[in-house]
Amino acid sequence: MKKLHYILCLLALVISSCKKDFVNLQPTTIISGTAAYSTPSAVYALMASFYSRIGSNFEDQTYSEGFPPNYTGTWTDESIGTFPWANVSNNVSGGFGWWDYGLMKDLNDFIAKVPGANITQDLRTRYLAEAKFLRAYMYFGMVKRYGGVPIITKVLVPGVDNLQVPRSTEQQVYDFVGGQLDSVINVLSPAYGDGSDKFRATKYTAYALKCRAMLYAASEAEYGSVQINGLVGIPASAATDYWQKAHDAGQAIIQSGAFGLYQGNADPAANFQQLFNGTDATNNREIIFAKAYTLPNNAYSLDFFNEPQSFKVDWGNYTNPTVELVEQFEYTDGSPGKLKVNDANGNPIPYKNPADLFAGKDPRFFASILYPNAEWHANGDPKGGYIELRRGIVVGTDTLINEDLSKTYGTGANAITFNGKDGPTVSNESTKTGFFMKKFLTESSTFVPNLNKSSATGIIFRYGEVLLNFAEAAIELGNTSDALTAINQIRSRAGIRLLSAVTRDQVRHERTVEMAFENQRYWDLRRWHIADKVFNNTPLHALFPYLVWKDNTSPANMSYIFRIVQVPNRPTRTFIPSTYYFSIGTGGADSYLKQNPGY
Amino acid sequence: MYKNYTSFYYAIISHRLQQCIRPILRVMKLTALFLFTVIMQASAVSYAQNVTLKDHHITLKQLFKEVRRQTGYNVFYQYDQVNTNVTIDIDFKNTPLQEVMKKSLSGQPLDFNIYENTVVIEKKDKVNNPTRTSTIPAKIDVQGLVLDENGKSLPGVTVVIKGTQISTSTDSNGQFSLRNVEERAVLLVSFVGYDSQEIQASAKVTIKLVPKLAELSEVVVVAYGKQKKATLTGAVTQVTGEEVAKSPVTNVNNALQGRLPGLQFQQTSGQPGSDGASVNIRGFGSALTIVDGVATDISQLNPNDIESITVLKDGAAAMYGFKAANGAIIVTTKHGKTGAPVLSLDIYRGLQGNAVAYPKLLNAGQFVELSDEAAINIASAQNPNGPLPSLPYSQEDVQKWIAGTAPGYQSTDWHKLIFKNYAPLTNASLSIRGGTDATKYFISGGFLDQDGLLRSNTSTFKRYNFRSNVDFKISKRLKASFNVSGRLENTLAPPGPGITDGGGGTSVVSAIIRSYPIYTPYANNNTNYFGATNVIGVNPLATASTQAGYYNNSKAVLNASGTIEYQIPYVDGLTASLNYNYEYDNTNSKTWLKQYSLYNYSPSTGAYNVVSTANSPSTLNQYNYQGGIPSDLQLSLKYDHTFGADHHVTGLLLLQKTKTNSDGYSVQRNFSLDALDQLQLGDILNQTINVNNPFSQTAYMGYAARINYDYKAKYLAEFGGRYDYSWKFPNGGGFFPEVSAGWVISKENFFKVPFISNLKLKLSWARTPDDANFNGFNYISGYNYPSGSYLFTTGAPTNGLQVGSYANPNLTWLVGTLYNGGLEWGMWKGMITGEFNVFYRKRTGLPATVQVTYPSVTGINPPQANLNQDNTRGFELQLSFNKRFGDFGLTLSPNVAYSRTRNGFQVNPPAGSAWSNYTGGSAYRNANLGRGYIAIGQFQNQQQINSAPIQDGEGNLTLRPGDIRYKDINGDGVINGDDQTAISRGTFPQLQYGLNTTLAYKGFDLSVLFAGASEFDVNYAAELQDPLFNGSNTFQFFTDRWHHENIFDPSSPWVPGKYPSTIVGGSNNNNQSSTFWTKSGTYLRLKTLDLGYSLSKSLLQGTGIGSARFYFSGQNLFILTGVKYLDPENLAGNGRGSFYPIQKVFSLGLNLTF
Repeated sequence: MKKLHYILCLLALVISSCKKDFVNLQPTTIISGTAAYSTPSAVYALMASFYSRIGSNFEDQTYSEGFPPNYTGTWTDESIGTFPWANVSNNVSGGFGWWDYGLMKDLNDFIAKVPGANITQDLRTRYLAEAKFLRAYMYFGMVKRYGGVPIITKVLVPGVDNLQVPRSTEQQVYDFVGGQLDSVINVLSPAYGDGSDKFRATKYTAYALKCRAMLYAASEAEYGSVQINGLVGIPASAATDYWQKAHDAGQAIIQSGAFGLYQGNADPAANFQQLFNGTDATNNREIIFAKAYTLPNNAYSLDFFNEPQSFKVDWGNYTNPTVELVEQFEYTDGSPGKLKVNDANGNPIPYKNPADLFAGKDPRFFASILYPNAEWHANGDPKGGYIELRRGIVVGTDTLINEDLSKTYGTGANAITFNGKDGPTVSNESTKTGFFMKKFLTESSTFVPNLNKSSATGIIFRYGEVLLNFAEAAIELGNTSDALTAINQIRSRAGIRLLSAVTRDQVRHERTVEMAFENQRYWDLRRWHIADKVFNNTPLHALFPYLVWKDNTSPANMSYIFRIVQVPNRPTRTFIPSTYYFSIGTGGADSYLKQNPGY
Repeated sequence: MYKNYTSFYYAIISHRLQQCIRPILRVMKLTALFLFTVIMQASAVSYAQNVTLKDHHITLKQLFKEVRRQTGYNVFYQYDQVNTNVTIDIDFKNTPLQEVMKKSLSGQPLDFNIYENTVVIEKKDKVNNPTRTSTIPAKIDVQGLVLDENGKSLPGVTVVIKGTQISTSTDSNGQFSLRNVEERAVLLVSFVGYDSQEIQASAKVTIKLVPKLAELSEVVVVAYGKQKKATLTGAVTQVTGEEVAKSPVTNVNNALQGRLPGLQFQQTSGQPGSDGASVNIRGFGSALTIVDGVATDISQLNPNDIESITVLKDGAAAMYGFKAANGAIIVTTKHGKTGAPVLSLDIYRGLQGNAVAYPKLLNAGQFVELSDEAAINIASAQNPNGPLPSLPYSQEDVQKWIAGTAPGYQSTDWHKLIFKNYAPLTNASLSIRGGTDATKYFISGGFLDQDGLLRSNTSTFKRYNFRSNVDFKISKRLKASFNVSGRLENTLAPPGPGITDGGGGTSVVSAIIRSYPIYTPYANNNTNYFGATNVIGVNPLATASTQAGYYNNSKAVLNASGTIEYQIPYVDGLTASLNYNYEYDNTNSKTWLKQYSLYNYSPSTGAYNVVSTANSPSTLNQYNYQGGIPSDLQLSLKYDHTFGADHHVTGLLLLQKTKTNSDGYSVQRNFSLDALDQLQLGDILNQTINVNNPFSQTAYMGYAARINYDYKAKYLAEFGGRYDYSWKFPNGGGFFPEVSAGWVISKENFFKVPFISNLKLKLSWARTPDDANFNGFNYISGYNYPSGSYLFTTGAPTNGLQVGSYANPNLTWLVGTLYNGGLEWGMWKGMITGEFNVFYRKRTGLPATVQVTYPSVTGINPPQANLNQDNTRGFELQLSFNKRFGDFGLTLSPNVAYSRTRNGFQVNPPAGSAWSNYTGGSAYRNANLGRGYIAIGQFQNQQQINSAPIQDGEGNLTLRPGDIRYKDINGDGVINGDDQTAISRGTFPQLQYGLNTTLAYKGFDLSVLFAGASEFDVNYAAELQDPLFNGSNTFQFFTDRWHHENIFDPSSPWVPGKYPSTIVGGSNNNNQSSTFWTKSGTYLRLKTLDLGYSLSKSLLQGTGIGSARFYFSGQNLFILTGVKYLDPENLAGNGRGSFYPIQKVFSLGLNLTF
């Protein structure tokens, strides 16, 4: 029995030594609440998280950080999305929500805690102001979508606070945004001198946001209508005040002299192209606020989604500019931008080189859009270095088309494929409109437009926009001379004839051209409340080049004619007025929220 | 030889001696014995020594001494039998030894024998007169043969002389021999799966064993032990390894379907290396799988290593704690057996092909026609009276493609170019099994080589298994065992998405459907240049070829386990054991995406122009992952004792502690020079390092106790419980009890139904905790790092730090309560047996977040809480018919199992209305419901559309004849989301059934397994629902569609078809989820057919081969189902058709034992 006793004792010992500590593991990715505010680098990391969470490209997804691509421009008259699944809806307001009260809670938490953080007083003050800027940015992103939203400025505690915070009026939200920005404008430095000026909130970033936000508020007051007790819409009486605020904020930036239009290249088209696809934002005077990227993990896929057919890797082709946008670009002599496709008798004009159709266009056109025979990746690129667009071949009175890229017409040395190597096509993946987007794309010959390989700086606020905002506010206030000065600065840099007088329509037109694909058009159409007029069963158009066949002639010596047709396989576009405001989620615990009209 | 000789006469001298040297005896070869006998006879006449001696009153002792001196012969005798102090008178003069001994012993009760140079003296009756005395029986040599019920020899059968420890086992010919067996001894012959037999020893015996009545005598593996099936109270089913190994499957999981009721299956791919079925018990969720006591994966085991597979379906699994909340599947591997080594070889070679054919795609003519039709249809939908739109293919071209005769107008069948019909499969397995009482061993090696169906041979799977199970009996009380097993798996597949993906990607299958048949695989038919297709950078042939690179995944697994077991003295039946397990696995994969170009040919210049380049630049991604169980410790005390004659008690006390680790990362580099595919040769610039699997650990601990009691094996009871800890809830363990009881009614005196041999009622109840789906570290509130990153300066990202979700320190296990009731019966001595179980499991405290409780403006990200509930109910019925008709043996075992899960309370957003609660809520209804419209046919004409309720939200203007009509369920005149209802039951079958039949006739054996499933639905989606989906090619069955008589004339009359008209981008109306696209998945499949022939004994005589069996085996030979275009069992592509079909396999094999 003694032995047994020993054995039992041994077992008991082993078992009793197995405390539950055995299952107490240490987390590998969680640090404690006190540690988060106890060192400068921790607070810095908190700030990094806030900036990174302001959505893809600061909530407007211009650069396609997300997947699959989705650009506001493809919902407007600027362009269409090429993929078959992009054509399903004829509803312009695709809509993309922005209701991140989770980030708001964390910002409010930070604003409450950072004054006690274990960092210098200077940093405390600055981080506090930056957090308030970001909070204002968040509210602006919401008010432009939903109208008035609940304004939350502290962390709500269940059981203590009323959690069912109702929507404020749209005006209250704009005023909150303006007020918050005013409070940080005087705290934030004009510059930090550590290379971070372009990528975090400075005094001028706050001004730039204020300028844009007040412009939106003024437009809503001027052109919208007040509904559901002001939850959406702003009384018309407030318009002037907001125009003035937008004007003043713009003026503060202009008068600071800290910024200017980018003029790094003597060639206006090359200059305008360079403005957008540099990686070094620090030396670009035009950039007020931007998002920086770097390989490998902080990169996006805009090139991957948008490279033309023969240059792409897998996807590509996504944004197809419309003839509507192309014709917005004037000729450098200031004449309207209508394409000279047919002569006065309605007969097609033959062009030896398809690119000649665009001769004399606004240099910004050449920097923003790829067109038939446009040079592209021409610097030593083995793939040909130009865009070849051909819808088919005209033989006598017949038009021959074939979607099979390998099929040719003609014989021997004169044989040529029916389609250009970049399209346009009806059923394939290539462009549907005869154009590709060029703005933002990287043209370097060594660049491979693969997934997550784009790292050019993404511009959020630039001086050009400030001038246009300023001009719009000025003209709405009746101050045409301020407007004219600003618009002519833009046109001068663009390399197009200056105006001698300016109208509201011209200001808007300049905006459309200068900021094509920059995510402005979608919001402009909404805030001016003209979207339902622009899109009313409206077809969009494509430009199809055709080779005019001559027997026994090298295709290089034949000429092209063009036909403008409705984009094939794409429905017309209609904007439903109720979608001027997005629908608010009123499910579950949010059922107390007042829904917007029309939903 | 000398050794054998001495052994033998020692054996004659003494029983006791013989017992000591028994092990040596037992390893003697038969041949040696025969040889020895011959020598024996020779030696009897070989003596020739004389003795001269004269004396009075000489003692025998002195005489023997003198004999030894004079002759050099030893004289052997046993003290207690030979009285050497007896005195005799002798007078010999040069007398032969034989004579001397004879005369000297004549007055004594002694006799002698002379062997070579030894004189052996024994009592008279022992040597000469075996029949003379009854106290010491005579000895005989027994030659025996053991046969099975079919008359086939049975190797490895244990033969014990009853009442002794003398035993042997049959050799590969089923023969055994025992020397010097007492003539009246009884031989006890026993073998796994057969009734033991006792037989009187005689020189020649032939024993025919009868298979066990499984119901009564079978021993079943249960948690941490074994139990007799007769006294089992849980819902347990078991299958032998032999049966599992019958199916020529590469993955053990796939061999179980249809054999074990209650085990639910779905095999979702047939691709080499990833063809394993997902398995769960009773629809409960993923089950714990255990191999020899260690929780580990079972799918890649060598099927020939498996002794048995047991499924614990109810509270019987509770001893394993929360990890077995959904039941446990226990694999026991083979161990050594006493006896001569038996070498077994199993080789088969098979051919695999698609079990269900891939649906045919359109050829070029059909494709261009349908493409034009789709373009015309969308244009005429917008502008009914407008001109013909810009067509993708001119009418002239369409005619050329249809004719297919003009040069350059030949259709390409991409699928046929990429896939072949059959691919080989080779499997070999070799094992050696044997041992002595002290050491037993089972050692095996296996090899599997499986090719995929790609013609490019870029999809293969290879596996190498080894196992060494060694058991030691160190002393009467101390046993130990040491088991090591390991395997290497190597999977080769095309890189990137591989052969299949969810659809729409650049995988091989997706590339095939996306590439139009109007393109040629090679530019100008020059095989040096892949042709460009409509999809840039995609040519299915290139995608599948080695030029696109490869995905090569190697996995190595090592498993080691040691056990020491000590029978504690003084307490009968008490055993302590310590078991330690270790597992390590390493996965290393390389994805080599190699750049290649696609070309077109310019006839004018004769040049091949690069149209596009894929995989640019070439990249290599190397991924390394380590996982495993660094420690699993089990300490246990087991008790097994019968008090009196009737009270049988067993008990278990156990402590188990388990840790798992995992860690991994991947590195990716681009290659400017891609001739070599080694990571170090890539460009360091833009190198990407990802920590895909950052270091993570889990830890579990539990104490368990169990008592089983049975009274006369009639009243049965089991009580158990386990106190468990999980790393997810370190602050609180939980106690989870389990109770079960059984009543063997057939043992009652009042039970007088002679043909029912067994009738048992079983009931069980258990609490089954679970920590699945709970996040780790829920009890900590803190900040997550890293969380996103941002660049405050160019080129230098700063990692973000973000507030984590709120902590919930109260979070605890979800708790299930599982009830099981079962009835087992056996009739006509086991000719018919059966078992029926019903079960019900209710679970509370399933994790969910209460997001919806707080308005979104609070921004609160609530942690998980124990909120939701569900319940699962079902039954299983298993029958078996087993009968011999002369030489003809038949077994029939059908089974059926049903399981359905319903939600209980579920945290749902508070509904805006009763209606939205009804349509959107999930609480208190069947889980796994699919919602959609009820299709009530197709619109036959425009009038019907005009008069129908609005169903497209646009005044029915978008509808066309042939479009699907939906039912207005709520009768409000508008068909919208409110008219959706539950239309399908999800893709996992609720009902599964199987029928296993075996036939034996003389040397032939046939085994046929049918398996099937029902009560589930297939929902066609994407490519299978929407012709020309996503601008791709489409299936031929879509040509049976509504279309205009002349497709180029939208005003021509409609021609009806099975499917709606085709339109670019698809029709919103027709692509809705509806009953039009839902089909019942019911199927019955011939899973396995196995026909074998064993060569007769006589043929093998003298070959050294113990047994030889040739067999043909077929897997998934045919399927009966209403589902078209898809394999209802394989719904991986969510009804899209972008899957690698389940394979049917024909194989020929050979089993040999030596």
